[in-house]
Amino acid sequence: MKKNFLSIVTLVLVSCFGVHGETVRILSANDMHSAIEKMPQLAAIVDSLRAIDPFMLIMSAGDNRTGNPYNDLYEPVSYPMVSMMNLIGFDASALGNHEYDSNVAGLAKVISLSNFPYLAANISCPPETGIQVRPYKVFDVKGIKVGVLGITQIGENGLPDTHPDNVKGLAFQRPEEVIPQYKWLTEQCDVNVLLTHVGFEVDVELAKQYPYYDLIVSSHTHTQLEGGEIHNGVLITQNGYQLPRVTLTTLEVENGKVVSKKAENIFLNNSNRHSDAAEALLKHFKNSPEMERVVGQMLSDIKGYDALGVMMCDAWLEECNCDIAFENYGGVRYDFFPAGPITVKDILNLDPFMNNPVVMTLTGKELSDMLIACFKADRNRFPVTSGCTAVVTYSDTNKSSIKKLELFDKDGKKLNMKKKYRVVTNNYVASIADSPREDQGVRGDVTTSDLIIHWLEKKGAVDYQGRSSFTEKW
Amino acid sequence: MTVIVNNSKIRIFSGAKVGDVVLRWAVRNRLDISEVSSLQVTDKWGHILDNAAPLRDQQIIKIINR
Repeated sequence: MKKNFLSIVTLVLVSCFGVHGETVRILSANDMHSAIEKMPQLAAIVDSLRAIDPFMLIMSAGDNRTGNPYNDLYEPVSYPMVSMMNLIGFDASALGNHEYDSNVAGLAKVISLSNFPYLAANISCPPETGIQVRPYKVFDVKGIKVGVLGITQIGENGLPDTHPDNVKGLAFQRPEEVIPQYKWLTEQCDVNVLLTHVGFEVDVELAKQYPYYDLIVSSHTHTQLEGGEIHNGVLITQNGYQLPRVTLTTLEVENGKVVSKKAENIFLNNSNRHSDAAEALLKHFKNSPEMERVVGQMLSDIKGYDALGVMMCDAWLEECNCDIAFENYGGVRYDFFPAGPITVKDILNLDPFMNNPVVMTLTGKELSDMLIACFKADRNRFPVTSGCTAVVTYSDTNKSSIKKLELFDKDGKKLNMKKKYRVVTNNYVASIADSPREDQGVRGDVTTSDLIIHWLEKKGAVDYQGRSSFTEKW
Repeated sequence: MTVIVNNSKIRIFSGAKVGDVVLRWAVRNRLDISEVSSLQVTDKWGHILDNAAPLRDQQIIKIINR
């Protein structure tokens, strides 16, 4: 149901002055993914709603971070989002799979900086991890007991969708193993909420199995619901990615039971109102000194896309322990880089797409086919490589097609078409290069720009003047 | 992993997101990459999904040209 913010405020006002029993309101967000630029709008909306209903609860269903370098590269990591959520007054957050992206120590730090609890009943955190997570929290809303049970996401491997090293020392259980253990809690509360980060499809299954919950605040799949949906009597809400909207859920409670419930979307994009306090915080974080941090030195001027592309591929190759790396020509965003310091911001401008590496095991033939497929999908531009060089013979001067492709290893020998190589590219190329290959590979969790930053920090100084990875003929 | 797109199977790398599958589908259907922005993706219930949404093996999605 699409309503503007003013009409929702009017509805909230009307319901405040015409109640039977009590009204519990929950404003929920999901998959905010570091959307710090939206937080001043969200703060203004929350201020207005809380002026009318000071007891309104605010919840995040997780994945508060990962998606914006201003938040994700900040030190301490994710502090901008946490600060904004503290300012807004979030009451609770689920643990999304991306909450684990800065490993156990990073998550412990994020939690320690948060003024609200993180809820997950299906995680065990030994004391030495320093992670403090509660399974549930009971809120007192005008005498109504609102019980909120948190559930974190786990994949088929039994771990959240992050690098396994990020969750070392933590133990996880499937939602269906733990939710029944908390049935007693639902019997003690007037309103029962599951705050989950498991995805809409799984939440529909949870609604079938546990109909004694009134509401599931859902997340993970970025599903855009029109308000909410009732499945087996349970209201499920979820609202896209990076705060296009938030959900206002209204539950009418009489004699310790929810007698009616509805959910409405509030559009942030339509709101011109901003919180001054949140705006000031945003300005502070956007001037982060991290962006100006020098990560390496360019020893001489670089001209042309080829040389910078080779540098990027060298970084991916070494950071992913691969034999060969390649990137689409269009993925290199600079054709000139002056000698001098290289900052974090420079790398984010050079590789701005928040892509991730995809590592595959390919035969020489599969690699050759993939390079040609990349050429075709990237508007007839041959990709840049590291770990091998290429001689490309086109059918004509317009480079309409590749007539012959010869690949050479780092020693100048012809690449063995039957031998298997460990190859890395980015997820964009791995998607558009639609050629036959046995191994489709695995998408990594770090960004390709992070790989370059980390590599430069180790290298210190680099010189790529005049470097190229392929020769063209026709 | 395999994702079911408009009743056809697409094999793609593990950890692929909606946007990755849309690109693969677009190339396979000979669409220009610039046309990808006009494609809309929904789950099996018809809910809109964004390009950053995660996918799991054997998930069913629908891609339509708006």
